[in-house]
Formats: sequence, structure tokens, C-alpha cells
Amino acid sequence: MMVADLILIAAAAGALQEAPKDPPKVTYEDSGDFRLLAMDLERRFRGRIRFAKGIPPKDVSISVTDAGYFEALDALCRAHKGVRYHDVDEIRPLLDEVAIGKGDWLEFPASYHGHFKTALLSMMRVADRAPEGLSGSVLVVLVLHGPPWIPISDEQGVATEWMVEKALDADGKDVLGGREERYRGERVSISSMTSGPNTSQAPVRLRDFDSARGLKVLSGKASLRTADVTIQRMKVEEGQSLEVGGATLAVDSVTVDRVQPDRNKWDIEFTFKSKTGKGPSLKRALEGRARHDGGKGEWVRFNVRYGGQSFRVTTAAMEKPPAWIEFRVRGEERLIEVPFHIKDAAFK
Amino acid sequence: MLIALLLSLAPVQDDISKWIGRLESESIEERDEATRRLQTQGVEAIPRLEKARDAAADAATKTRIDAIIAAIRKSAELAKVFGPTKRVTIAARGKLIKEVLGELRTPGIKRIDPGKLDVESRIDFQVRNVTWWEALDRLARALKSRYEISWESGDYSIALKPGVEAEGPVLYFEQFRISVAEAKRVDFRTPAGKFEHALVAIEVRHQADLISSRCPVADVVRIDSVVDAKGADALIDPFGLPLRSYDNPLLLSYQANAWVRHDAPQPLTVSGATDMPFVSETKEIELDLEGDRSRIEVGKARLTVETFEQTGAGARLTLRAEAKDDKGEEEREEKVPWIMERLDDSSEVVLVDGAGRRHAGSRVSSRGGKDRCAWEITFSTGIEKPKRVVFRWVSEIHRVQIPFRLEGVRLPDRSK
Repeated sequence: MMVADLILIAAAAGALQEAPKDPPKVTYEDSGDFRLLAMDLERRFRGRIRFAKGIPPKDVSISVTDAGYFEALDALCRAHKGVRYHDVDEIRPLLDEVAIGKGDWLEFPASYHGHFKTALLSMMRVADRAPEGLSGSVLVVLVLHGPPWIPISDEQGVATEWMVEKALDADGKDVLGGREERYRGERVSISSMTSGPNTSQAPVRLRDFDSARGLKVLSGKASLRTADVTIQRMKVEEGQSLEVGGATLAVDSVTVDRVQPDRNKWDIEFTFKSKTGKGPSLKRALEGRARHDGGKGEWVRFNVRYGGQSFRVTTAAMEKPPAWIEFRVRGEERLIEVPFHIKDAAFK
Repeated sequence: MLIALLLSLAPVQDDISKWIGRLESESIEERDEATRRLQTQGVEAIPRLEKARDAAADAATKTRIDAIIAAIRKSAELAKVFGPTKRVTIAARGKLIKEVLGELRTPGIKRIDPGKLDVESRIDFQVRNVTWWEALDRLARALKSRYEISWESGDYSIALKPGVEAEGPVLYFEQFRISVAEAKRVDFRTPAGKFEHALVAIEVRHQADLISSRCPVADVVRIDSVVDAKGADALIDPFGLPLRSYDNPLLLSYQANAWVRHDAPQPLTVSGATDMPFVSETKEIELDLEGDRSRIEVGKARLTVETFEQTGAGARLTLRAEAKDDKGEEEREEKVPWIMERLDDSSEVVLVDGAGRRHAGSRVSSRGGKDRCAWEITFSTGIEKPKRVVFRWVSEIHRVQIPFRLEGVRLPDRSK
């Protein structure tokens, strides 16, 4: 086996060990142009914000007390009324930034904890056929928004466990625990999941209740195993390998995927092997993105199946295969628990 | 269901003239019964039906007879390809439940698990000359049960569960059962607004001895229209809806769903057609591991042992298949559709050694698509003097196209 060709980049721009400490919460009042206030918020939290084109200038005021990242950001967007960061169509944000686009500000029932935000995205009441009559249930979708400096999404290798501890309808009736009682022969499932960068979503099925009147309480916690990240580089040549924790990441093949006579894409196949049979899985060892020589610095996403030991990175169109590729290697995991308590949640 | 009951209990009266006459009856039940009676006639009845059609006074009767003729022809086609439909006759009076369940034994179904039923108790149950699916449906209902289908060790099993399946229109046609498997109402709320929709799912089950092919077909089950009680189109274009639907079909079935207006006057009528690919012929193929007999042509496909190697870790074989016609890709696809699906899943790839012993292999990967494919198969260590590989090849795939029309479809009541 080839000796690992590892280059730990101590770049001039700063160390690549991406483990920033949480910035403190903020208390301040200010007013002025929305974009300038947002950039000020970006500076206070060191949490990257990207703006979609076409957001018109608008003077707004913000007043927050002991607010975390999302509580402050929400106060700012709420004041503007014409911007939002969830379900933004016109811009595709990266995982470690929040993208603000045009659109009516939507007030999702939410709970803040530290720099995190847990929101109730939707309620879907379903009446369906079932043995011996009708059955009904309500599917609610929760979303956890992580601040840009803490990776929390599945794409970033983060496992999130959701625990809903209490769900009361508008009359205070317990509606938790409907899942076990449901008819399991359902032939069509319906989803309303939307995607967002650096988020984790959880569909939760509750017993039937009047969704027009909503929920009095929805509470619980999200537990996520996040990790700090180092960027590691390896040569793109068949047989090259990289030590990743207790495992080896090897280049299996580099083949051309010819899309046009003068524009080639390259498929680079990798295999991940644990040295001892223990240690992290591929899904947990690497974030699901890479960047390569000639790729303009962009992180290219790749998919790793749960339990999978191999994956493929397809490059941008380029004449020759890249000389090197970089991965975001996850370090030791740490547990973050984000409790949530959402009150009086109703969508009229 | 009532029609089916009348049909199965009625005495045998295959008087074609009588049933043709009843096609013009004022009674819907009589017309339906006559239709079903005539559909069970063989192709020999077609000339008389054609004469009756030509002589019929009204267009509705002509259309009905045309549909009967089409159904008879379709039955004949299916019988030719897949053999006769499994039909069941049970005349049980005070019979043990376990004995009645035993009468539903059929190829491909390993067992019918009675679940919590007391199989030592007795029931009265009669069906005559109904399809296997209809017999199962009616027995489950008589036992106040529904059923689930599972797969274990190469066979299907049926498990009876408490609770009767919700009623809905069902068509039994030869080896197939076409029904509305699900009807839902959905009330979806977000801060952006409120959406109300409904959804119907059509399910087509097939007899367990039919082997479905994974050969991709654009619309295995196609819903062409959903019409409300006033004759208006009730379909909604799903594009732009904030919701997505995902089918979770039972085993032995294909499925499709359609979004419909939640406020459409009921009942609804759902029409469409199937295009289900089934394996209709397989051949056992033997290839030497090297030499002239390591390649063979089967129909329009060329099969080759590409590589074979033995190491300390075991043996590894690469089997390649490609369309042999070199007249262009389009033509090859037409002649050997989806070559990747042709290595028969239901049987093993076997390596035969010098002493004639057979060693089953494990398929580790496949690469390819429409007109060429390579499979990698691994075998255990220590196979002495391996000589040839044996496998089954799907030489024919038959696409079953059945038009359907399900009337009387009702959405569930709105939640209170």
C-alpha cells in the first residue's frame, strides 16, 4: 500500500482547524439599512450570511436582549418583513452559511436555545382508509437550524436524534404516541419536507387532532453528535491513500466521464477501510463534500450511503484529472443537546 | 362485492344467448352479471358476440360487447403466456378454519398464517370458480380479517390480521386484482397558507407464481382520468403542490397514485391501464469457463464468460451480456430490452467443478443497462477444477396491458 500522502494545510489565511468557540449572545439596539445591520450581525457572530440578488434597501430597527444567533437574525428579518432564510428559492446556500432571499417573512412557531432555533414547519392532517373505519393522524415537521459555525446536517455526517416528550392539542389533550396505534398498511405516504442548509428535520406523527386549532405545547429535545473538521489533501492517483482516524481512504480509480469532446468530467472512486474493524463509519468520518485542484475552490457534494464503504466524486469539467483533492475530515464527536418548547402553535 | 357473490353462487348457465340478451337489461346488476358471465366464455364465443354487437340497437350495448370481446381476447393471451388462472371453489359448511385456509394453497404462497384466529373453530364459506385473489379477499372478510404479504426464503406468505379492510371497488381479472388501495384527504397547513387535497392509489396485484421483471417501464400502472359524480375532471396536476407522495406497495403488486380535488362530488370513477412486465420464459444456460463454449447467443443476446480467476480468497467470475445485433443502439434496445434485468434473480448462478459438483455463487455487482451488462459473481474457496458456469437467462418478458375502470370510489369523510 502506498504511504499516505497527507498534507495538513496550515494556510496563510489561518489554521484550518474549524472549531470556533461559540460567540457570546448579544444585547443591543440599532437601526439602519437592513443589509448593513445583517452584516453587523455577521460580524458579531462570525456566522456567514449571503444575500440573494434583488433585496431592496430598507431601514429597519432591531432590539434584542441576550439573543443567540437565530433569535437576533429572526428579529432583523421580522423587522424587514420582506426577507427570509428558510425555503429560499433564488439562491443555493452552502452548508456553512445562511442565505437570505426575497419573500414574505414567515413566522414559524419556534423555540430558541443558545444559537439554535427549533421551529414547527407544518402540520398535515390526514384522514385515510383503514380497517374498521377511518383513521386519522397529524404529521408535524420540526426543523432545527444550526448556526453557520456548527455543522448539524446529515450531509455533514452529523447524526441527530429527536425526542418529542410532550404534545398537547389546543384543549390540552395528549396527542403523542399515535404512531403505534396507526394502521400499518398505509400504501402511500405523503411528505412535506423541505431542504435547507445546515438543518435537521424530523417528521413526527401525532394522534388526530384539530390542526386548525393547533397545538398548545410541543416540547422535547434534539441531540446531535457534531464534530470539528480538519481539511486533508491527497493526490488523485490510483492507489493513493490517506489515513483518516483509524481508517484508510484509498483512490480506487480515476476514469474519464466524457461529456463533450473537449470537456471531460472525472469520476474518482474511493474506498474507506477501517484498520481494526472498529472506529467511525465512512458516513461519520467524512463530511459529504470535497474540493479539488482546478475546481475553483468549490466544495462538491458526494453521497455516502449509511453502511457504505465506497463513494465517487465527480469533478467539474476539466481537461486533465485534478492533481489533488481535499476532504473535510470529522474529528472527535461531541454531543450537543438542544431542548425545545413550542407553545400555542397554530397555522390559521 | 354483491355482484361477485351472485356470480359465484349462481348455478352454471352458460347460455350465451341468454346473457347477451341481459346486456340490454334495465338493471345494472343484471347487465354486470351478464358481462361477467360472458367474459368467462372462451374465444369460441367471439363470433356470436360479434354478431350480437352488429345487431345491437343501441351504442351502449355495442360498446359493452366490444369490451367483453376485448376481455376474452386478453384472457386468452394471458392463458397462453402464463397458463390458466388459479381458480378456487370452496363449499364449506361447518368446516374447520384451518381446513378452509388449506384450500387456498397455491404455487408461490408458502403458508397462510392465521394469526390470532382460532383455527379449530368452524365456518360456513362458499365460493365457486373465483380467482385466488377473490377467494382470499372473501375469506378474509368472512373471518373479519385483513391480510399482509411477506417474503421469506424464496416464497411469499400471507398473514391474517384482525380488522376488515375498508371496502372499495375491486376488479378481479384472471391472475390480477385491481383495486383502490388507498383514498386520503389531506389538510396541510404552514405559515404560508392552507392546502386541502385528496389522493387515490390504484394497486394491481398479481398471482404469486408470476415473476415480475424489474425491466423499467414508464407507467406500470397508469391513471388516465379521475372523473367526479358530475362528470367533471377531478385530477390535480401535482406539479407545484407543496406535498410529495411516495408509494409503499404491498409485495406482489404494482401501484400508482393521483392527486384529486378534495371537493369533487363523489363517487369518483378512476380509469387507466397497466403495462406490467413479467418474466414469461427462462432458459438454463451453460457456459464453459474458457474456450469456444465460453460464449453463446441466446435470442438477440450474446453471453460470454469474460474473466474467471481463483485466488486464496475464492473464485471470481465476470459474466458479460450484450445485444448481438450491430445495426445501431436503437434497434438493439428494441430487440433485447433491458439486458441488465435478464439474469434471472430467482435462481442461483452455479459453478460446476470437475467432479460435477455444483457450487452456488453470490452476485457482488452489476454494471450496465439497456444493451450490455457485466455481472461479477464470487464463489467459495477450494473449488477443484472448475469447468463451467450454469445460470438461468430470462429469454422473454411479457408486458401485461389491462385497461381498468373503477366506479364508486369514495374519499374518506373529513376528520371531525
